[in-house]
Amino acid sequence: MPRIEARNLTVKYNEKYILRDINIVFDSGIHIVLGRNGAGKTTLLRAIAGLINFIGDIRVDGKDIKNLNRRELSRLIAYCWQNPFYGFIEASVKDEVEAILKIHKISGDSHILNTLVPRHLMDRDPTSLSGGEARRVSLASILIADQPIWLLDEPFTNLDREGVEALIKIVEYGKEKGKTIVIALHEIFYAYLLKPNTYIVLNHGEVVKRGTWSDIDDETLLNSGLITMGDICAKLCNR
Amino acid sequence: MIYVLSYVIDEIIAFREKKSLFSKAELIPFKSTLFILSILIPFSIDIKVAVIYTLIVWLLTVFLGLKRAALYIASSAAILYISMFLIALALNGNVYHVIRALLVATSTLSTGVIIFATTPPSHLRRFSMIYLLMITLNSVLKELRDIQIVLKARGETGFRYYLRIFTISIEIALSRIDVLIDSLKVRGIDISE
Repeated sequence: MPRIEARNLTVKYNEKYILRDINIVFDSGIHIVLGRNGAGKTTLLRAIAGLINFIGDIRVDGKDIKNLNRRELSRLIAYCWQNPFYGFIEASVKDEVEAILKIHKISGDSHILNTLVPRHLMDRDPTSLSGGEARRVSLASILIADQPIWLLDEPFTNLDREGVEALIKIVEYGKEKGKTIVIALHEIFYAYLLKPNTYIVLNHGEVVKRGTWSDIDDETLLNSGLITMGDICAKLCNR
Repeated sequence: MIYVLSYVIDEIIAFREKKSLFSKAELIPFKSTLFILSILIPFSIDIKVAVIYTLIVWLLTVFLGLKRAALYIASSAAILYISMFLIALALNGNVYHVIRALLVATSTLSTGVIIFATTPPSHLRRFSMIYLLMITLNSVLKELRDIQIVLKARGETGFRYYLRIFTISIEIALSRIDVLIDSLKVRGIDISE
């Protein structure tokens, strides 16, 4: 079972604490990291993916990530960044999604590619895609390697209804395969669609609330600068 | 020249999506040799050889179909030559030094354009820093294409326009480099290796 454990995780930039003394455990299933803009969600995912320096311990699948090299880490952890356009490295969508497969000399999981990326996009230049198409390609270009751990940073941004449905299918598919999926979100609505197992709320780099999804309450969300389901329902009732 | 530049960028970006004679991975050593020879022009014994070499690499851009780029290189070289030649005359400088500097600029720009337009980034994956440089340049150029429209719409022209393009290019490169490095790392490429 792919487990993520962070003990006393602290990240500082120029003496400013971005994450402070985080202790978390994520097991197989879907886990949501909530928090306002700048709360530390992206930094938490990047630390787990071994992309930044940190103080404390992060163990993935029982292994200390500081002892894993870049290739080992990328076979174990899939990290999908926030702005899809910033991470494109190839001249066509086909080359973009095949890049990770060629690096690791693996065949990957074509179901993920087929669900996320429509066939007609394969010959396009990734930077010429629309926001939603770019998001789908960006996600597929990493998840296709079928890593046991998925870290998705705001994955729903720019997606239309079809894109949201495709992504939810993939996340459910990943859950069925026993993956540990951590999703950073600030839009609570998508979390309800995903029916996650657990959640944590970050505020100013600290975990201010955690629990199972059924326990989540509007007051916690409100205090952490997030839109609540109550806000959404009230708007809908008054329209 | 301002308007030509945006057409040149469009042409190079469009060319990168096509497969050409020079797009084969086996030609990387040949293209690298061309680039190194261009840099070594100041050390060439015979200036005629340097002129012929520069002419050949420039004609190569025409032969590949990068016509706007070839035109841009030729017109830039002409403007640069006239201004440097006049300065050399006014200051009693050495005209041959001016010609050599101009040949370096022309041939390096020509080979740089050829390499960038015909080399898919994946061919350079073994050379992590060059690979990162290539994808950053690709990313910056595509963004610049849009920014040029914004600058034109604001009515920026002349030196100020080029200065803005220059500073914005650096800003874009710096803002994107972190995510590009992440994107390479999560695929298993450690650029610090």
